[in-house]
Amino acid sequence: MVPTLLVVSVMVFIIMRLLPGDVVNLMFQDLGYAASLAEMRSRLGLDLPFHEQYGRWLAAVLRGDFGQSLWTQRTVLSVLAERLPVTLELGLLSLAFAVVYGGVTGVVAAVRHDQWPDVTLRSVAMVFLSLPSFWLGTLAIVVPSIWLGWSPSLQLVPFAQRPLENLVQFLLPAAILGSHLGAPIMRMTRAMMLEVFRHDYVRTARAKGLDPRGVVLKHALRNAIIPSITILGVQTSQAIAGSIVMETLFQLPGMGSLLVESVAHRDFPMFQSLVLFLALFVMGVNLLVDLTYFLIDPRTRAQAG
Amino acid sequence: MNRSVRVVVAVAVAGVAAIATVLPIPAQAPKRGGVIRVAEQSDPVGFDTLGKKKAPVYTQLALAYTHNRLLKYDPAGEVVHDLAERWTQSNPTTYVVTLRKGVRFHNKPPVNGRELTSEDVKFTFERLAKSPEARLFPTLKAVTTPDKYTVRFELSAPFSSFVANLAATTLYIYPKEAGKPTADGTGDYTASETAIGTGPFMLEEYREKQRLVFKRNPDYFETGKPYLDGVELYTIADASGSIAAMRTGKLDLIPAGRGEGLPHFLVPEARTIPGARVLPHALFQTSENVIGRVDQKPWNDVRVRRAVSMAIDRPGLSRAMFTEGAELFSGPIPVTSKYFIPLDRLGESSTWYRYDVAAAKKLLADAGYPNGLPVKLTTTVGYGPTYTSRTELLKSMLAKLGIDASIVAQEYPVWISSTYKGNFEGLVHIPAWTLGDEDEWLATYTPGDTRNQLHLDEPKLTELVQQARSAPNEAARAKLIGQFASMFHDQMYRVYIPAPKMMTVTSKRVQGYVPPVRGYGYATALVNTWLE
Repeated sequence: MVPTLLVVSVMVFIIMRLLPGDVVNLMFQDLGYAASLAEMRSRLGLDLPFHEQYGRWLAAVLRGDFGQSLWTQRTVLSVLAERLPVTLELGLLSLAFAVVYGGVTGVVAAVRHDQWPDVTLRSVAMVFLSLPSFWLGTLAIVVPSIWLGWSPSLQLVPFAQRPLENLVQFLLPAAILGSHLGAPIMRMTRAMMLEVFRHDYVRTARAKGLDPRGVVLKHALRNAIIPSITILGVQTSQAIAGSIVMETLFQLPGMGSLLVESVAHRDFPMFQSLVLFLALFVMGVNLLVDLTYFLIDPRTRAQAG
Repeated sequence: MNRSVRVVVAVAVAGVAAIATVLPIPAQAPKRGGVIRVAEQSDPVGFDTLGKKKAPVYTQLALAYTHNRLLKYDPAGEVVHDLAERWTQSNPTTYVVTLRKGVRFHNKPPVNGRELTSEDVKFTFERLAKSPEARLFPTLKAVTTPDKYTVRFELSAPFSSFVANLAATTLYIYPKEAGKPTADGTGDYTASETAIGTGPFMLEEYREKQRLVFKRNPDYFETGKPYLDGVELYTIADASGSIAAMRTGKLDLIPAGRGEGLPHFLVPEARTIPGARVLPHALFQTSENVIGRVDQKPWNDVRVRRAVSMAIDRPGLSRAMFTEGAELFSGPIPVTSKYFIPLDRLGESSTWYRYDVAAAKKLLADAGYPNGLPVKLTTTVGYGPTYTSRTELLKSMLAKLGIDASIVAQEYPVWISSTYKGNFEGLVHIPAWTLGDEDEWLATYTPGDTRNQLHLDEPKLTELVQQARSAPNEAARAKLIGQFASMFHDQMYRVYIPAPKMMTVTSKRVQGYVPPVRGYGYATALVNTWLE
């Protein structure tokens, strides 16, 4: 993980230094981030030798000093402290929804293979996979406002103040994002379950007269779910990408919209810190995924031991 | 009931009904109280319109709640008094502004409700001189304060836009002690707690990217106003979300603060909200247009420019893109300007606004392009998908003329730093200038002006601009601007496309709101608004 983080930090750093001169010009002339080109370069740390720039930046990051936003003039950390929890909550709830929805429907579809529940669930998953989440999100706002007289809250309800209201506020965007993320999980779970059902040990378990539910949930699912968990790790980055749209539609001030704004405003101190944090988040989830293998699959534990 | 009684009753009812329709409906008296909820696409970036960087539109919109200018625009776009009680011009280069007496800043520390004085105006102009807004007063030489309520402005040369530019929606009056100290003494007014002005509302809460809460200023100088107890300004990026919120009673106003306002394709949806009112209006800006560089081929040939104009089906474009109505064109003078020349008064130049592909093709052939020509048509994705849709429509119209336009859609930062500054080849689909005074756009057609996208260097036009700038009186100025516009239309330097109506939507609770047609400051209209 540490080498990956170092690579990410170098990449983020290089992107910053690959800025063409006219963009630096833009930053001080049009956006007024500095009074002169020299000051602008100095603010971005571009006036030092390359290795020194990287060393100073990395040392500052390790000290927790991510610099100051050029656009809002607030410290990057203070902005992140406000925005990060929103994206984390939306992302984690979406992933949780994706796991529950994808896992449960995948198992049901496999158990009812080629029967109407299978066909229905597969069709629904295909719909979720095909429909863009921004369209579903817009529909989820417009239709209830017409038929139910309900629309999402216009501002964020902090979890610390009103936890239940907060969860209700996140439920709809998380479900929309989660349904999109859960569709591949459903398809993978179903396919793997069908594969596992053909194995001898499942047939033996059934022949022994074990409870059919136990055969599915204890013996088959445990072996079938590992590829789905792997997909979940990959889906994390998609969850972040999808959160940009959901945050905009549902008035959630998170990191997704901040990322778009920082790119639009050429706010590079903010942008590179965000990329670093998001990389850290994706890596963290993937680490959790790897650790989950240990819990689920005894063979992984044995190999590690 | 016998027949005669029924007849009498029917006649009586009919009579009452007839009288009711003839008599004027009594105007509703404004009511005090209530909090209006307003949607805005984005929130301010700092609360300083006179800082070191150019203030974003949303900062200007926010400060219209909390601050005042010396002069302001009335609902029709005319310049009227705000903090200034009167102004006089003693000679072509001297203006004297007398302030209203008894105007107080918000009762918040560190200003604590003290009275506005001429020193505040002087301080504001010191700030202005060190900000990008210094361009508003290019000939300003000195600001002095003969007494507590008098400000004297000395110019180095006559400047006919001086008075009008006092109403610019960046020129809010700041109290010195509210800003955070800076080395140059101009103060830093970025933080929300520094947003202390004399305006109708006081900023009570600011949650970034969520909402601004304003409460009524009880000491506002217009007695009895504002009628509202407060304003909640929500940041809602998605227009569909704003409509849904109004439908469910969470919003009262979707203003056309900038751009197109509510996109026309969403207006039918807004009309289905029970009791909601859709208010179409014009805005003080010119419409989108097609340009090229006048110093380069093919735009250097007036026949090409006229051919492009005649190839644009303006009514067709209006029907396709602006379903709620549009002006045929707005430019180079905004349609809301008193100097605007409508099509029927354009004379021979109106020919170039006629949709006539055959005539356009002949003009193009005369210019040396009998088989048409390939050209780059630059646009940007920065103004949203409806903007690029219009670029595609223009491409298809140019194709009928034989111009094979290949669209180059630029990312906004690239667009604003290169194409928008006039660094381009071929043709460009470019948006309207959003304008303050007429001098703002006149100056952009003179050599040396950084906003001269066309690279225009036409001595006659430049002379007209300079003469209009120092015109001795309004009649002379109007005549000069009229001459400028006539020449501009005849030469078709910019090929204007239709200007959409702006769309403001109010809920059934909102009364007395008249959308302003000029400047970034609809909050001034909320002073006269009340809720039922």
